[in-house]
Formats: sequence, structure tokens, C-alpha cells
Amino acid sequence: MTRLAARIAPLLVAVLVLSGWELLVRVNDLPPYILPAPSAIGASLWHDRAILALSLYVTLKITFAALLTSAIAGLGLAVLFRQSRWIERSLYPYAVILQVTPIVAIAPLILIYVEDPFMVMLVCATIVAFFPVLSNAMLGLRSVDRGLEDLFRLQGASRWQVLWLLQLPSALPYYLGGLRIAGGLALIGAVVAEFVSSTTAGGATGLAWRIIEAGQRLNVPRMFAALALIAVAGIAIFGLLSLASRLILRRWHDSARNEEQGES
Amino acid sequence: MSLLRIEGVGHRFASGTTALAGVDLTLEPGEFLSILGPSGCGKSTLLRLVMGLDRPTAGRIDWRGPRPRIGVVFQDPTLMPWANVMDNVALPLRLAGRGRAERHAAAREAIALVGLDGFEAAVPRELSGGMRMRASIARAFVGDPQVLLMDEPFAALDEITRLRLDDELRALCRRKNLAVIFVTHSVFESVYLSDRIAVMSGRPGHVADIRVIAREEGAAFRASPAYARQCAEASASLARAMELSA
Ligand SMILES: Nc1ncnc2c1ncn2[C@@H]1O[C@H](COP(=O)(O)OP(=O)(O)OP(=O)(O)O)[C@@H](O)[C@H]1O
Ligand SMILES: [Mg+2]
Repeated sequence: MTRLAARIAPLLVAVLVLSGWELLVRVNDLPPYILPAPSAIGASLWHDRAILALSLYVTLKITFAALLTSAIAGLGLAVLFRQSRWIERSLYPYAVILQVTPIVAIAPLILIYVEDPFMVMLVCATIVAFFPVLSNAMLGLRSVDRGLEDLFRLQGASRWQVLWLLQLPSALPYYLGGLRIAGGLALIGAVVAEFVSSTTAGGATGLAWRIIEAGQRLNVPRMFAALALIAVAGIAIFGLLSLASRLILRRWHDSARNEEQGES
Repeated sequence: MSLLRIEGVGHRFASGTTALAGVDLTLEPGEFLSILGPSGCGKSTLLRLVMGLDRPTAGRIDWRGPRPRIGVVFQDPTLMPWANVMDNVALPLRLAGRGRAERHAAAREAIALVGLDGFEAAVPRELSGGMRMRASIARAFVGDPQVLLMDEPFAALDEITRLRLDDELRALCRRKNLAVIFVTHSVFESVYLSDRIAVMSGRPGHVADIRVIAREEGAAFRASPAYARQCAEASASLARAMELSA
């Protein structure tokens, strides 16, 4: 398969599915509150563009804030853990607990203790996104070449030099992999947080809230429109982070060479 | 007086394997010493003890006077894949806290020494196997070492590159009057490079034979009858050592 064909194939699927969908709605004359046609969703996207764009902005703001917080906290904690096994043993289990407990179950509690709605959502989304960054960074900090480790020791490298010149660069590919996963999770976290908190915190105006609000008004095309925006945002975030990762690692890491990149 | 004395050294791993027992060996100033022996006889273990990466569980390893500056070359090039040749070669100086200008000047000199000039900005992935090995050798030279410790540095290279690097290494060490311990599997390489060869035997590892090489400088040595004869002798010695450890 040529490169061009590989790019076009998924687009072709989209065109086929959308036309089939449009046809299905038109032939059966389905009302938009049962199943809106793609054209109706498109119209809603255009018609409600001001409101949807604002909501998209709110959701993205939370997503990126959560991603940034996870990126910093995940790396910071991983470095701390690498410095002391004791700290790692004492704290890591709680990171795992936080990870395995469903965010939907934690969110109501956060609502009680945190007042500012933006902070509520930031905390929720960060809890969801943070773990893969931490665990990948930890894995990366341990994946140092044995020979290089010996070499640094032989040359009398300080702890700081080992961290800065050896462990952090070795961890970079893993860390970036963790960030790529975290990007999608931060978005999910932001949306879920808004769903959970929207009933109580009146100030929510993100895309999740638009979906709920439109659902209550039986404005199904707008629900789909908001959903489409979330999906596109997710894809864009993943694509952006992949691109950044590839650009950063391009020169030296094998993963940046291959088209498909494994992640863990 | 010997630069390094290894006396009755034994090493037992935590796993229970006794890798070395009763190893006696010296390294003289300016001497090129090869360690030749079958796989698993403890050559790398011994070299790690000399490097100070592990402590012997028996015997002693003493340097004459303060510990000299040591340059090491491992079996793999062991370069930082994210750093270019310049930064890789300059690493020992960076770790020693030297300034940037000084580092680069010294690194440039070492890079020229191994004939890698023009590749300062290349990362390891952009180099051939032989060039990577030469970068690794340049790094060993950059700290102006007094002793060089090398563990099968050329094992992964093709024959042509290997012969050329052997020539370059021998010439370099003579020029800088370095004392070298060179671990190898190859009888031919050890005879070509060395002033003395320690033939090791395994289970547990010890020095079975020490051969003093009567040698001449220059590539012509490789074609001489003296070289062929000494290769045959070293080969026979190695065969005896392998029988012992079989
Ligand atoms: N970290 C370790 N833990 C336990 N045993 C080890 C360890 N490293 C080496 N050994 C054992 O010590 C013995 C000597 O190993 P060593 O690596 O020194 O051999 P070598 O002579 O360098 O072999 P080769 O020529 O194949 O590199 C072997 O039997 C090996 O199994
Ligand atoms: Mg070895």
C-alpha cells in the first residue's frame, strides 16, 4: 500500500459511513431528535459555532492545565522516587490507589472540599491523566544503559550529574510516551469531571455541559456536534503530542524512525 | 616498580559463582598487557575489579602511589545516543567540572587523534560501528589518562576495521607511553598489540601463563615469521588453558 493510499483509506471510510448515515436518515425520514443526519449536525456546528467554540475553549483549557500539571507532577515524583527507595515504597502505593479508583467515585468528594469549579475539574482531570506519566517516567529513569552507568560512576559523577546528564535523557522517550497517553486521558478527565460536577457547580460551560444541556432540550444535533468536537479535540491532542515527541527524538531514538510507535 | 599489583585476587558473586581465585598479575609503566582467555573465565570480572567498579572478595589490588587517571573502553561503544560526538567525547571532562571551552578543545584533539574530525556534530546513530568505537576510544583519551583499560573493544567490528584500529591503538599508546590492559579473545590481536600476554584459564579464573612478546613496532610485524611463531605459541598456551578449565 502506498503512503497516499494509507492516508486516504480512513478518509474514505468516513465519507462512506457519513453518506450511508445521511441516506439512512433521509430514506426513512427519521426526525432529528431520534437520529440527526450528518448534514443536520454540520448545520448545528455552524449555527451554534459561537457557543460551541466557547465551550471547546473551556474544555481545552482544563485539559491542557491537567496535562501540564500531570507532566510536572509525574516527572517530579518519578525523580523523587528514583532518589530514594524509601520515598518510593511509601508513596507509590497511593499513586496506584488513586489510579485504580474510578474518578466518577472520587469526583463528588472533590466537589465537597474544593470550591472553585475550575480547580475541581483540574483536580479530577489530573488524577485521571497523571498516572501514565508517573509510571512511564519511573520506567524511563530506570532504563539507563548499564555501561553508561558504570562509566559515570568511574568518572566520579555526582548524583546530580547522573540525574541531569544520564537518567533524564534516558527517560525522555518513555516520558514522552507517557505524555501522549496522558493527553487523551486529560481530555476524558475534563469531560467526566464536568459531567459529574455540572449538576451542582452551576458555572460549568464546557462541552460536556453542552451535551447535557442540549439533551435536556432534545437538541440532539447539538449533542452530536459537541461530541464530534470532543473527538476531534482528542485526535488533535494525540496528533500534536506524537508530532512533538517525534520531533524531539527524531535524531537519536529508534522509535522516532518507525511509522508506528509502540507505547506502554 | 610495577604500576599495578594484583595479588591473590578472588571474586565470588552473591549468586555463589566463584569467578576468580588466586589471580596474580602486574602492570608495568608503559606496558601493553593483554588478557587472553576462553569465554567465561573471568576476564571482564577482573577488569571491573581493576576499574574499581566491584571490590574483590579476596586478595588485593594496589596502584603504585595515588590512583592514576584511568580511561576505559567497554566492549560496546557505550555512547550517549542523544549526544553528539563532541559531547560524548568530552563527557569525562564535563563530569570533572571543566569549562566548556577547555572541554571542547581537549575533545577536538582526541577526536582528531582517532580520525573522526568532521563528525563532531554527528550523533552515534549516524556513525558506522567502527566510527562509534573510535569515538569511544577518543573519550577514553580525552581525560589525558595514564592507564587504559579495555574490555574486548573491537570484538564487534569487521576484520578490516579491527586491523586498522589495532594499528592506531598501538601507535597511540606508544606515543603517549600509556600502560594498557586489553582484554581480548583473539590470539592474533593480542600478539600484535602486546608487550606481555596473560593467558587465563577458567573455573575459577586464574592466570595460567604469562608470555612476553618479542616484537617490533609497525604493521610489518604482522607479516614477520616471529609474529607467526609467537601466535602459534600463544595459541598452544591458550589451548592448554582451555583444557584445564574444560
Ligand atoms: N553479575 C554476575 N553475577 C553472577 N555471576 C557472574 C556475574 N558476572 C559474571 N558472572 C560469572 O562469572 C564468570 C566470569 O564472567 P566474566 O564475564 O568475567 O567472563 P569473561 O571472561 O569476561 O567472558 P567473555 O569472554 O565471554 O566476556 C562467569 O562464569 C559468569 O557466569
Ligand atoms: Mg567479558
